[in-house]
Amino acid sequence: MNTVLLASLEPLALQGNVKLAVASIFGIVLGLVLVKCDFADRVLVKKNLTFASMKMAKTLLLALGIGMMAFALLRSTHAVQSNVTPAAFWGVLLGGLCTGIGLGIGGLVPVTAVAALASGRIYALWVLLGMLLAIPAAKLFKRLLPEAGERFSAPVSASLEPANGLFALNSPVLWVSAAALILCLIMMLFGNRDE
Amino acid sequence: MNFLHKKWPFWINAAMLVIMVLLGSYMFNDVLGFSGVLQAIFGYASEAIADREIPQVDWDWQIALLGGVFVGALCGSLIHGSWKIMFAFEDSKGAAGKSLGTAALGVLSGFLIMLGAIISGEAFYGQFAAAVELSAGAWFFLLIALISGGVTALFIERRGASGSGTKAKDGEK
Repeated sequence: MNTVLLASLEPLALQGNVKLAVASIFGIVLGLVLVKCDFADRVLVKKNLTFASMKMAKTLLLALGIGMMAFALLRSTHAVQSNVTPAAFWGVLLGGLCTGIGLGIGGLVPVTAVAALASGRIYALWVLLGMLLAIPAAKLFKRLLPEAGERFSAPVSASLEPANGLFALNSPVLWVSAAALILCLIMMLFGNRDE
Repeated sequence: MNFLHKKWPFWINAAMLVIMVLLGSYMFNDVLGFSGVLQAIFGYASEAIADREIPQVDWDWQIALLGGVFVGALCGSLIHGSWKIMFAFEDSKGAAGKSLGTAALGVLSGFLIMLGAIISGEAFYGQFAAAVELSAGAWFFLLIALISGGVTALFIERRGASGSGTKAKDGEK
């Protein structure tokens, strides 16, 4: 019976108007979660980036540590599938750098900028305007330097896929999750107290 | 209702984030990301300006998701008591800082973040969701973004502190 149940699991993969309706409700819950996690508060985000507070660091480390294991387990039951596209090394490096500098200046990313705007932070409109201006700038860059995309498209060679099972000693997921959870524990024991 | 009023401890924040990523993957069979939605919105805005009429909008599920985030954040901030109208950054000083400074820094930060999202393929939340889905590239992105973000924030903080320190010294003279 259990084998039959596990075999029948697959992603819901909603379609049409049902997908739109569920996405709206899902978005409402996500917006609430982002506000409750203080991700829409740019002052707290910047405080956490400088480690004046460690709450967000602990949140992210715990979420990633547990999330990866949970995802790998659910994937083995076929309830979820990996939808990740291969990443280019230089794209990730430069993109991460640009995003980080932008985050350090403004403290908001696209989804938290929308959440901040909804929380009455009208200044988030400037951040959203900046995001919209980046789109034609990126298109112009791609048009002027088309060979740049080809030259810097070498993929990230590392993989976190557990080749010999999730709990095997050489499972990258196990090691990365353990490292994240241990780091979270160290921050809990020796870091600043949460507000 | 008390649960919604109080501040959540970090482990509840973490659990909620994981649940949202996994539930999103199960329900939509797609990585949750928002840079694509903003690019689509820009496309519609360009069409509206070029054709001078309301464009035909393809109501993608991600647009519905973003709309839901707005409503959810509005409700959350009202329940939480953190809803407050603010036109300038909280840490901006003086009339120029509050107006021009907020505008310039806001546009600059948004520009860099979106540029980063386009170059890397996905914005911060999408990269976080991809990291949960075992993407090594996403882990690398998060590491680079958080380290460079921390350095930038520290630099800005120190510059602001030394600037106010210099003014105090001048005042003492």
